Amino acid sequence: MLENFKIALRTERIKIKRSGIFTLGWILALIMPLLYFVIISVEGDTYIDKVTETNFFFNFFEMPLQGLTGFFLPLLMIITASKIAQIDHKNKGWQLMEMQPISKFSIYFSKFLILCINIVITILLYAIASIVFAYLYSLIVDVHPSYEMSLPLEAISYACLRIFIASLAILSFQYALSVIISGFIWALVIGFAMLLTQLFAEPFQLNLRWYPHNFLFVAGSNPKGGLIDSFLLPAEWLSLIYSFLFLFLGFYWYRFKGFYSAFAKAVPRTITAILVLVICSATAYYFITPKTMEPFQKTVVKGTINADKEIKNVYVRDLVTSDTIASIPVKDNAFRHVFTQELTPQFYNVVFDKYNQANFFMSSNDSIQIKETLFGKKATVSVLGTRISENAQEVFYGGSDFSYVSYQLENNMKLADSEYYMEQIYDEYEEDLSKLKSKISVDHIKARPDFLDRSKKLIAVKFINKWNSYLKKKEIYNPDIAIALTPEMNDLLNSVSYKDETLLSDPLYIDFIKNYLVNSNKVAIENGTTKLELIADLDEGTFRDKMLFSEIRTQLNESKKIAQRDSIYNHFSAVLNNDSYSKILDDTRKSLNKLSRGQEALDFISYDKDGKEYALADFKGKYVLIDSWASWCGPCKQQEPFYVKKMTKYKKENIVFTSMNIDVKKNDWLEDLTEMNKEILQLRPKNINVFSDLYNIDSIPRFILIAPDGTIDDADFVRPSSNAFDDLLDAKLGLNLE
Amino acid sequence: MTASIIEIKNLGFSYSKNNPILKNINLNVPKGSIYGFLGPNGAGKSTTMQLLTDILQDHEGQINMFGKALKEQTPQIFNRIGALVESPALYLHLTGFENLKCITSLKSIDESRIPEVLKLVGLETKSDLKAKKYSLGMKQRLAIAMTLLGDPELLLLDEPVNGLDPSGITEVRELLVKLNKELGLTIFISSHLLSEIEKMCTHVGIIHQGELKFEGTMDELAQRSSKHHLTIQTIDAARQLELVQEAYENARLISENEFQVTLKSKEETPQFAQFSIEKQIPLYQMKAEDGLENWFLSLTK
Repeated sequence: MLENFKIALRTERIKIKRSGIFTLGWILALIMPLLYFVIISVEGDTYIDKVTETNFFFNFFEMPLQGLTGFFLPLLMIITASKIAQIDHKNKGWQLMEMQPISKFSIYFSKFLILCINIVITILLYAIASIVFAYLYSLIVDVHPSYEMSLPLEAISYACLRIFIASLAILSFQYALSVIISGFIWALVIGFAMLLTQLFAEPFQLNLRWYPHNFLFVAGSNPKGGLIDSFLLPAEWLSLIYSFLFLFLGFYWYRFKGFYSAFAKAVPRTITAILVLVICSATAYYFITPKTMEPFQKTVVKGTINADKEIKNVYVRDLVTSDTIASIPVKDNAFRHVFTQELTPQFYNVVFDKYNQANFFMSSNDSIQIKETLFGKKATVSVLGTRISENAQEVFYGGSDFSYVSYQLENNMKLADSEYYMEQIYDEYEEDLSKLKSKISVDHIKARPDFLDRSKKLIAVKFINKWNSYLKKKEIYNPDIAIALTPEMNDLLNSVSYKDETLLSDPLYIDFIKNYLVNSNKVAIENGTTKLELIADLDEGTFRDKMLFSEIRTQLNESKKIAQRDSIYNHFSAVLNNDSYSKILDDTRKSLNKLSRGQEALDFISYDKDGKEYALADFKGKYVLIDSWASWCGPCKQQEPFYVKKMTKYKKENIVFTSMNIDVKKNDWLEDLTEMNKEILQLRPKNINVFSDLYNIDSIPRFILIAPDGTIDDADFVRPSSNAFDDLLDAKLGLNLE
Repeated sequence: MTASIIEIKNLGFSYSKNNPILKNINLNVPKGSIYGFLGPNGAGKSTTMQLLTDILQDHEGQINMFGKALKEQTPQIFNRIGALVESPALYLHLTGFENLKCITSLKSIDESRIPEVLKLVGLETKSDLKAKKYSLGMKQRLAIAMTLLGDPELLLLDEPVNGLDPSGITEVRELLVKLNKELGLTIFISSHLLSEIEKMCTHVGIIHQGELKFEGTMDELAQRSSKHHLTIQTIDAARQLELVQEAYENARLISENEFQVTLKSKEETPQFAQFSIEKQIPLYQMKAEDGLENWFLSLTK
């Protein structure tokens, strides 16, 4: 049997001489790496900003890969499958071969093996070419230093293997087609039509999970594999199942010369065919159907940290209150925490010391794996575990696309036609819902119902808001028109509860509730009742506490005066039934007060690059503007040129421009200094933590303006890039009095 | 009686239920014979050939080769058979040598046999030429050369002289006779023209509309068609015919200057000439018609 197959293979190798099958593979393999090499040689590496733990060679392999898997590889398969079949169709070789001491199985599959070998060679050649071109590029151009430069042979081999597996479905289909139909034109037409279908469907985000060309596309878009630890993606399993089916159908069709004799003429053949079809359909159905992940027996958040800075603690916080739910110490760049309390299914906030943060979705009985990468100024947080699909969704409330109804509303179009608005709003609502449902990860994992329910409600909130804006406008322009709610609109309005605690982690819902309270208590508001009072009057419970907390904090931040803040706090924090909330608000109040205008600016010691020490007291009699920044902070560096410009403008005025570097890495500061403005006083606090605590530096860039008498003027001054900067500063310095 | 190399019993075949291509065919091809399988286009020759080579399956009846059922022996049996169906099956983008190499590879034969068969078919100087540059006759000979590799005991040739010019036909015919005589090959050859093969065949089978009309040796065939036709060229054939018809009933007018007369046997020809001269019929030409051909035509009409 094996010997027989080898003979057939040897013969096929003679026959494909001068057919150009392998040459075509070589050419198509080289196009994309060459093109990419030329493009980045001319345009430069545009991905420099995104470099975090990225391997240079793998990146070079990955970037043009979709060109290969999305177009050139399918093209190669369509053409070569047709070509290798045509060699025998044209020359009546099928009969010639069948009149030789060689089995039909060997004939059919030796040709298929040649095609497979060609695909393997093409993929490998692509990989080798991308490595070679990457190497050439590294010789010509200086590669960004944060690239990882080792040869990722294992990762590339893994990607190549999966791409090969994913291509088998198309290959076996095209081959069967080319063998069955003796004219070359149909196999090509059908092949190209299928390829184009995939290319056209892709931008429309139609989910073609079952479509053969999609398998290859998915494998090419995810060369590192899926998000869960499985060796093959469902798309690749599907490719194997499809190719088995196509090979079976193709071979039987070929062996018995026609559909009827292959599958219908004899009972055993019919039974075999039905059996194969049933098994393939069932397994394919299994892989196509999206799954949800099983809950875990415990509630765990764990993760790893890969950073050039030392992160000591990871905090998990409530999104609304910023109340710390868990403070997790980092040991050997890893952390793990088991939650014993119940967790509402909602988004939480994870904070990596003071560097960066991210939101992630979880509930009780989830095992969440967080991977933090922080190099230089770029941080990425990836969330895996039992909530893959939920955390992979970028938009929590449906599409963020253009909304026609919002456009019409903005321009006061058709305001008299309430039925039209109801219909439009409901249509867009349904469209967003369908988008929500169609989000499925490459591992064919879909979000669990708790997430979907929550998102559904938030989407409803978004559209109820639109409806409310319509009502407001209608009230102004067409007050006489009565509104009869359609049943659908009624459903939409009733789909969201005004007391849903789980939605409170979303600002959209909080604003929704506040607006609702204001709108439904118009009379009370007119009589002088405040928003805070309305909230405090809600039924006792966590819902009220959270709402109240959120509103108190908003108002504390908005108040400019100490007395006002203290009054709000004293009045309403007593209503709160949550000591932790009260404490947070008290801290907020105190730290805001501490930095209120007129409070004494607490002094600290800083030094310049030569070690000369400075204190705020040294600048008494002058305004001092402090720019707090760090080397890893991109937005800070964006402000720098503006800051220099302003310094030049106000050089002669009674103000000192200082830059306060709070980066833990002193060397980075010294390096940065070599190319920074020397006229700005470049300083660094002696104790960064003390400085940060004194001035509540929780985010940078942060500009602090100190008055000549040594008191705080503005603890969060506008950024130099802002248009208001000059006006505000002119006023302080008494410059625009004319 | 010599052993049959091919033995077909009650063979029937159809692509669809109501349209049988072959009906109850019985054939015996003796060892060492050149068996002519005759029939007009569409009679079922190629179908039979394809069944004999197992290219087509699902037939009724039985096909035995070398004394055993064909089914049990495929595809190894092709080590003993050289087959050429619907000629010429050649890879036109390959050279003659490479075409033969395909076969040696498939049959696991040493490549040194290639020059031998090339010489046998007279293509030894053209082996490095691509097959697409060959003339039709050369292609045909190359295709036959391919069947000869591996010293087959039986050749199955489907219309091997189809489309060849007369000299090509002669070449192939001589080659086949040589193979049969020198190597003792049994040859099963199909054709739609009796004249093409009658000169070399020892046995004949005639098929028409899926049914076997005749099977036997050439001699037996000759006996079947013993009547002898003469075509006579003269002047004013109609008048002469009247004279002839006094003695010979079976005579008919062909054209203005030609008529045909049917004799009981060849031996009557001098007698008829004598008669014509006596009756003063001007004899410009007397041509003996091929009786076999006519009989074949009448059979398959």
